[in-house]
Amino acid sequence: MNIFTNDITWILLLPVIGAVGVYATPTKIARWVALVFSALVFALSIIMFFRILSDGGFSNFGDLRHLPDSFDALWINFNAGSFHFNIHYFVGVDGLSLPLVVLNALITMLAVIGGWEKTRVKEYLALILLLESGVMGVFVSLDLFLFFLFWEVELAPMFLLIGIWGNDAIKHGVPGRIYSAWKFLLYTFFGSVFMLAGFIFVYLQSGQTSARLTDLSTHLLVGSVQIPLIGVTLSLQLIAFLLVFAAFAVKIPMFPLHTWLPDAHTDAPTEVSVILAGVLLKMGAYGLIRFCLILFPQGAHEFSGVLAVLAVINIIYGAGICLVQSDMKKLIAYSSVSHMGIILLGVAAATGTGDMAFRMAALTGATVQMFSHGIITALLFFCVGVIYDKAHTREIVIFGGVAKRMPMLATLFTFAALASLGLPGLAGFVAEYMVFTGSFKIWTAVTIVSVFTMILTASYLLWMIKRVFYGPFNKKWDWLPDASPRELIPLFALAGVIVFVGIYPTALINVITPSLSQLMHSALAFVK
Amino acid sequence: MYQYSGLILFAPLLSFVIIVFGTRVWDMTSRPKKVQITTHDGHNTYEGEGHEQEAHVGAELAYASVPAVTTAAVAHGAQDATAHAEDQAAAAHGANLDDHGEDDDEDPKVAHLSAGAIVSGYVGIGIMLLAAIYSWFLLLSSLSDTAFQKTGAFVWSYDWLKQKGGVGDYTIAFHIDTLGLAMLVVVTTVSLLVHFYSQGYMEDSAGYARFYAYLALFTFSMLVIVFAQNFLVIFIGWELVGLSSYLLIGFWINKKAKPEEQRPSPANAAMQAFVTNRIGDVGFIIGIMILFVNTGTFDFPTLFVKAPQVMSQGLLATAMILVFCGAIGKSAQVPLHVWLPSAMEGPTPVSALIHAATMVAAGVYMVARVFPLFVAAGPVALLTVAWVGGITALFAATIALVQSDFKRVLAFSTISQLGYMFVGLGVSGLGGPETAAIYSTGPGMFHLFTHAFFKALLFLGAGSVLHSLHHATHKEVQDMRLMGGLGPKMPITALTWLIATLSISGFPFLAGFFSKETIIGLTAQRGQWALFIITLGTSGLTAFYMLRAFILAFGGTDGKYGGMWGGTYRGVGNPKESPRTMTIPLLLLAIPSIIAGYWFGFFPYVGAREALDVAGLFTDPLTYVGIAVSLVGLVIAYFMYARLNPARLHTIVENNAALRTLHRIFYNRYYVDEFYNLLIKYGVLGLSHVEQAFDTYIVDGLVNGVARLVTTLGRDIRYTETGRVQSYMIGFFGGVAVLTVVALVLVNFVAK
Amino acid sequence: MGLSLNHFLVLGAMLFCIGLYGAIAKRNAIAVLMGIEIMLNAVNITMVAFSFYNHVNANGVNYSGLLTGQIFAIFIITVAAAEAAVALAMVISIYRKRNTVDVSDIDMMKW
Repeated sequence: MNIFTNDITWILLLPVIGAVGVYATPTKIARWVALVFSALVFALSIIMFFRILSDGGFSNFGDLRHLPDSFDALWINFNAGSFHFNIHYFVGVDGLSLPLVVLNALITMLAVIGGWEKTRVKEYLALILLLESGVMGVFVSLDLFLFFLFWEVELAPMFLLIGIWGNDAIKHGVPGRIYSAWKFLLYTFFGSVFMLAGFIFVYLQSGQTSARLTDLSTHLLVGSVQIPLIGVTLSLQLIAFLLVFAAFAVKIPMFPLHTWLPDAHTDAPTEVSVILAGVLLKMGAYGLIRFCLILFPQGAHEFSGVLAVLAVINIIYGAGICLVQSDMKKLIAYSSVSHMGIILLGVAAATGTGDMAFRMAALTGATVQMFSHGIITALLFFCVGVIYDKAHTREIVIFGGVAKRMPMLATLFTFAALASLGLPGLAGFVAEYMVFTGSFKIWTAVTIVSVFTMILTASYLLWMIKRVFYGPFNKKWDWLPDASPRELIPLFALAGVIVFVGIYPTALINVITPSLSQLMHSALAFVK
Repeated sequence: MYQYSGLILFAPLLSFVIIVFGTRVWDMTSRPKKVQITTHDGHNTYEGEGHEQEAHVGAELAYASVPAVTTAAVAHGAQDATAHAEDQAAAAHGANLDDHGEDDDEDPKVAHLSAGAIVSGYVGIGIMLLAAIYSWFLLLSSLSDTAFQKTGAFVWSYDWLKQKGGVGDYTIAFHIDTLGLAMLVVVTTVSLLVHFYSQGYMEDSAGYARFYAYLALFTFSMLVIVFAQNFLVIFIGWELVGLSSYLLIGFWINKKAKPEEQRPSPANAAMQAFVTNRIGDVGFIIGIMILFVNTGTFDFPTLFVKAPQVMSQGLLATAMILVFCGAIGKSAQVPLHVWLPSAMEGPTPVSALIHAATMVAAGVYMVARVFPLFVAAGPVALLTVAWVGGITALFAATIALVQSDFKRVLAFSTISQLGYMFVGLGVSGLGGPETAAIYSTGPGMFHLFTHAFFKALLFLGAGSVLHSLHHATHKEVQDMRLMGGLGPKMPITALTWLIATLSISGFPFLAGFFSKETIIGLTAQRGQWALFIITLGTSGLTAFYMLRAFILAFGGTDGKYGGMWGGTYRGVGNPKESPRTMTIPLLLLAIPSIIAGYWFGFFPYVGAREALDVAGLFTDPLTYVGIAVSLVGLVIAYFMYARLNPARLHTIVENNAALRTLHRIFYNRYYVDEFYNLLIKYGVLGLSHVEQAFDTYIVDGLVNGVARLVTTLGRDIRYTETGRVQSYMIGFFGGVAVLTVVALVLVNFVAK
Repeated sequence: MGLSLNHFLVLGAMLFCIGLYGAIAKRNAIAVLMGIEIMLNAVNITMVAFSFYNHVNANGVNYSGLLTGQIFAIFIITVAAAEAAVALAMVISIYRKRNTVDVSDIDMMKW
């Protein structure tokens, strides 16, 4: 098969071509170029979805060796004596990555619509398209080093997007956008270093000639090593797990590595926040399930208890801290910390000891949470963006009763908040409910504590909504116009997806299940 | 036939969809368009869109002519300019927080309802009418259908979430049986009447269509609970009614709080209702999960069989008490009762439908629905239910004694009556499965059934009074001290209200008498004498505060019939009887308020082994004790309020230290709200502040500290980079020299 | 006692130290250059001397015909010539720009 007849190649290439096109054309056309290319990628991902569906459904999604849509070619081939260093261009989608690919394509397309009237719009849209390509790469790579490559590629556009279009308010002596861009970059790099070390470690230890996931997953690490000086014996898997997990923990973000997120969100422009919360955070969770669980099941199992505790800290700590935020975006950023904790809880339950079915449910819930948190938080950030673009502030307390002037936005914002707090019938509920019911069997005490997030989430979101939109009207906002039709497009699109997933989650679950059950039965089955 | 009851379930959803996407859009688009406004700072213009706040655009223009306001506007304008110049407006505005504009929209009005709005109302009413007729038809036909009475009928289900190899039982399943059918007629009937009534109550509200959409959404959510066949569905319905309640309480989005009347703003009340319910829901969901992980199912019939087998009684009792937490929240029992009085900030028809007749009764219905599990869980769980109910009944009744807000009296009365229902359920289940089967859920559900009608009537009657006073005084009056003597002015309202008052007081031969006396009698029969005393006493208190409210509103010392009817009106204006759209539902509700208690076959209908023993009821001396207590309550209320001057009463209470203290405690609702406020302010928010500080100073401090360390090091070390060749040379050769020395030492001393 | 290797090494070391002193202590760029040249020549002497005297390795193989040190010395002379040319050119250009050849003034490349 030719590399250029593969869908996935085009999903990776089209945004890049689009970015060049955006740069090369005059501003007026450039926007449409960006829209067309992002729409093409979205269309392609949807086509891929339906083609796989018609080619025999998602049942053959489980085995990474025989994915219905994948491509494998040797890219870097370096052999010196007994040392082999081969990197494959090995890409493919399975049930775990397909929803995220679609999510990324959708959110980027909506971000292009949202960023229609930015200053320096050409550069802005071009970078967003490059970002899309990088993130897509993360989701489709099945080779460790290719994954690492894309993991780093995504940083550059993000750094520029925050650093150039961000907020100018001074933080720690520099403009906030500079501070946050660096913080984002360095935090991620900090994690990446460990990930690369972990990848090299597992690659060399396995003795394989390539770092494809399919090769390494059949040669798992065994044995343990005694750490000199302190004399603790650790299994190799745990060491490798911790190294690789460090990168994912930063990205998820997991307490206490989370402080880059509120800063990055508050200082990023709207669309970048949307992508950051909607897609980029999922890279961490995705990597955790895709690489850590497949490559280091034993290590993940040994870490499972700690992970569960960290998850509950994430959930409760993130929710608690939301209560005292004064900036809408910061509040939503911390709520992401809390919601991503639910994914961690699901993973912790999946790697724990106990009934397979419940662990499976928890892991499925975690995967659904990736998707639903993506669309819900994207919607929330879009809503904040609309109000910020008009009022030029996001301070909660200086608003008051503006639903009177922005009824449409108030409705959608409230809708998003309700979805986020897990109202049944909307996407957030599905994931939360699955994770909680699943993990309750495995980590009972931890789950009981986590469930209290229901109260906190409802409190901080409704309180924010109330202070901004409801209650006595603050006359100074008398001039505020409601959201324009262009701004409403992304809002309605996301709202539609949220309702669909909430009412008929089976559609999503059917895609996810084969991959996860394969994962559970091959990798984690030994944990009884 | 029963299977098509799914149509009833989805009918309100249909009308919700029609209104939201159809007639409401029509309503919006048909409103007068486009008012061009140039804002204070000149560079922001917008076109007023045809949304429901039009009236205020006009209002704002009007304001411009008032000098004082104009000055304020200019000040705002100047401030706006700075706000736009800089992004960090926060600091600048911090000082100005209290400067919110004058509140001009209690309830935004329109001069005439548009066709779209009116059609919205008709859609809602029409669809509800069909649903109500069908549900009554089902009820009547099921009375003689023993097969249905035994098993009920499957309605509809789909796999909400199905997974191979996972826990597969996430099914949305709807089911109807006699218990559900009894609830169904209550919900559809009250909902229909409230829909109809709202035509009058909301006559010129700008949010008319929106109101009907919310009502339809609520009815749908409530029916989800009614039809629920498993815990998953009931939880979904549970949260959805919470949502509709949130939307409806906060219906008047910009209304201000009235601290002088202890009334929160609707926005606050809505939030409080949702969050308080969530607290109960946490217990609910944990309880559900305990059941689920042990049995692997949410399905009620399966659970009834399986749960007692696989779970120890202690665990089951824990689970059921946690499940009951959900009911505590939803049915506003102590200690989660605080939201219901606040919820009175919603429009009164909403209070009637949601916060009196149906939603708050959902907790009772849920407990009745899973009654076999409570029975299996044993006396601990049942006594928890009964005692929470009993304490709440007494607690709320004492508060209701002294409230002066018309609706708030009814709110506490509702809380108190819900307590009765829980007592009925809890006590009925005591004594093992055999004894429990005698009355089963009968007494509790029976009281729910009768209460729904007369409480809805009370609320709608109150709404009628408030509506009339609003027209007469042009402001919102809810304080009973500003009413009085309304009897002759609005006779239909007053008469129907009196019927409901007597019914809830347990006056013989009215609906409330049968259901309440049954519960009181049952406590005695099961030997729960403490609960007997509590419920008996509460029934006296109920009679007292209800008649007190009636006399304060409709009568007075100088009225006819010894002060019961008419007398001095203490407010302003000239209140008149409400329009026919409002009085018809009152009359219709008065009928079941009288006769609902005569359905003596209710107990067997909902699954009990024995019917209500009417003959036994009238031969039991305890019944006469109950009647006597109620009458005593009524008589005291009569003498205190119809014979005694209010000013005189006031002096008596103020001059007696004990009475004064008691009055103050009751009036301030045992200071529970204050306590919760403090708890939230210093407990929860305090913790949040600690977390925020931890984030800023510890985590970020560490991160920034490392960054600062590195930058500082770099900045300091760079001074060694002098730019002079010779200093580098010194470094180079010096380095070589040092290395040589080191090498020599190593070779000659260490290596040897 | 004729000339032994040590004599040459001592000479080389002395020259080197003189050159080093000149390179480090002199303020005049030309003098610094001269110091460097002296150091290079000191190395040349050492190279040739080693090559001349140490032509038998530990295994007793004679390398006397190889002339490695001498060839290195020739290289160094060549490179030194080129270096001197470039360096002088820079010194002249700096002098034209800044009117000085004092190395302590030429610190444009500091931090």
